[in-house]
Amino acid sequence: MRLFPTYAAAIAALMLTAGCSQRPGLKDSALTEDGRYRVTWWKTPPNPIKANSYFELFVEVEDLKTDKDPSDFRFNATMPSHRHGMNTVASPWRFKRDAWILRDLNLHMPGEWVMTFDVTDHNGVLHRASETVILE
Amino acid sequence: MKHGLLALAACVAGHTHAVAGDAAARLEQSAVSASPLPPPPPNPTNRVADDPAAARLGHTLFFDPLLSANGKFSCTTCHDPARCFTDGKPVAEGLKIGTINTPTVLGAAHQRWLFHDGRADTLWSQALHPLEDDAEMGSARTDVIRYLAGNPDLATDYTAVFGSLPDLSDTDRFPRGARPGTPQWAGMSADDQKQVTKAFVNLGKAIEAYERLLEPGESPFDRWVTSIRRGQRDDTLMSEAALRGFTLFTGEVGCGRCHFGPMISDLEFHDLALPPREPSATPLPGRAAGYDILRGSEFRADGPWSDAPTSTRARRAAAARIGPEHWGSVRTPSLRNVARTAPYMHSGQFETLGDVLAFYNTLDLQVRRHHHAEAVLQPLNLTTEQLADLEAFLRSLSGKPSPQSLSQPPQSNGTAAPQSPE
Repeated sequence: MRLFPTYAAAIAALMLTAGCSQRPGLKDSALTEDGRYRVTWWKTPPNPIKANSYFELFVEVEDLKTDKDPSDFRFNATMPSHRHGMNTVASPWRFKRDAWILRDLNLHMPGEWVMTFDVTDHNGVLHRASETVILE
Repeated sequence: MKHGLLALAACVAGHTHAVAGDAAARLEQSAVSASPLPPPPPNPTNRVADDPAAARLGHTLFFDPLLSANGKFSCTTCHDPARCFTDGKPVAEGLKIGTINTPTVLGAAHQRWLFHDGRADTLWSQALHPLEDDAEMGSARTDVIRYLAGNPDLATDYTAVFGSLPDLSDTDRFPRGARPGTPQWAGMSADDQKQVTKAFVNLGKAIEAYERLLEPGESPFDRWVTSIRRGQRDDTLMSEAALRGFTLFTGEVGCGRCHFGPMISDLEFHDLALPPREPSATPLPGRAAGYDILRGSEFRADGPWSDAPTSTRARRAAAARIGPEHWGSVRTPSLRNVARTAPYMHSGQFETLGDVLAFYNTLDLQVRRHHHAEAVLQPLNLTTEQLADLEAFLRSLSGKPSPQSLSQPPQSNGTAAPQSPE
């Protein structure tokens, strides 16, 4: 576990220097429902996400209304039609004031998943962005 | 006008042809994603997982009934090589009648979780459970290690792989019948407990090394997929019914939602709302209990006895999540060799593949026990012929039997018997 920050920083540096944002298909973003935050995520291989294959997300959260840092960030994914979620817990590691790395994520079935990105602001209010992905 | 109709007909024919081509391509794509079965993934939590000497020791231990409390039960009592490493019974029968159907060991090294409820996250830790389970072999780790030390062949093989066995000759320090939860164990010093447990864990690691050699074997389905991979699809390698069955399996019927990939399983947990085997039987909590047992176990992949507690494998196992939907859920079984592993489901609820398919076809027998249950299943509503096709496909997943050298006890000098032609 001690290696995680080093590992995460290396991944983050690699992604930034590789110019992921210019590579089509690697980057997605969504606004929280109230428009306060823009959540941008980069998917690490496999890309696109494959059913039952572990993957990682590199997430940036941009506050569009204030310059205060979010206090917390959480990720989850569920299959509403199946009424179940992931079988793994996503543990975000915050490596910058506005960026997190999540690894060991696994969407274990094909079908429609709803990914949720929960940003908690400095007042403790939760703001949610979500994205639907369909896995083959 | 006539030319126009001909053009339209040609267009429709072309479209139909393209749709059929797309369907065939999708079918082949599903096929190649399910075969061949690659070698088992490495298990860094067991440094001897792929050590032939450890496998030889594990092979001997797997067949040895003297590891059990009464000297009558070995791993093969339930994992009988002649029955595809299962026992053919609805539920396991060791020292007591169990509650759970015996899963096959073939391909177990590919599993992410062991036992129907995932109470173990490595094959070596799985192997340790039955040794000390009162319903299975009922032994105790001090007795097992003392038995090994008293058997020159076993002791030599153990020492060659792991170094010296601990000296348990002082029965005051190392009482008989000592295992966690017993007064004998509680009376031992922490250091002595550690010595014994270390040797005990090594036995599990040796058994894993043997079990990693037990692969499901190439099936007619695998041979058919090989022909696709070579660009020379040969549909004579499977029966017509099996081919129709595979089309159903991967298509809208939806079996492939949980049964996919080379093990033809997502290796994860689902609640099918199966009825209990006996109406009076207590419903099993499945993964909900398995998760708690795993978290309380010292034999976890990220635990003190793991050879790589910070490895990716260990970290992923430690990230397991439990939720309300997991109550009653059990691991999706591999369908490789499924025709040889009757009876079926985690409590042996169904005797035949036909019974299993009949369950899925109507879901009439489902028993909902809580309102958080997942809702993956819908009735298949298939015809009798379609069900027969599905069963034919399932039967096409039966692989070649394991080599005889692995299906029999090793020769007394510790080496495996020569492999006979299959």
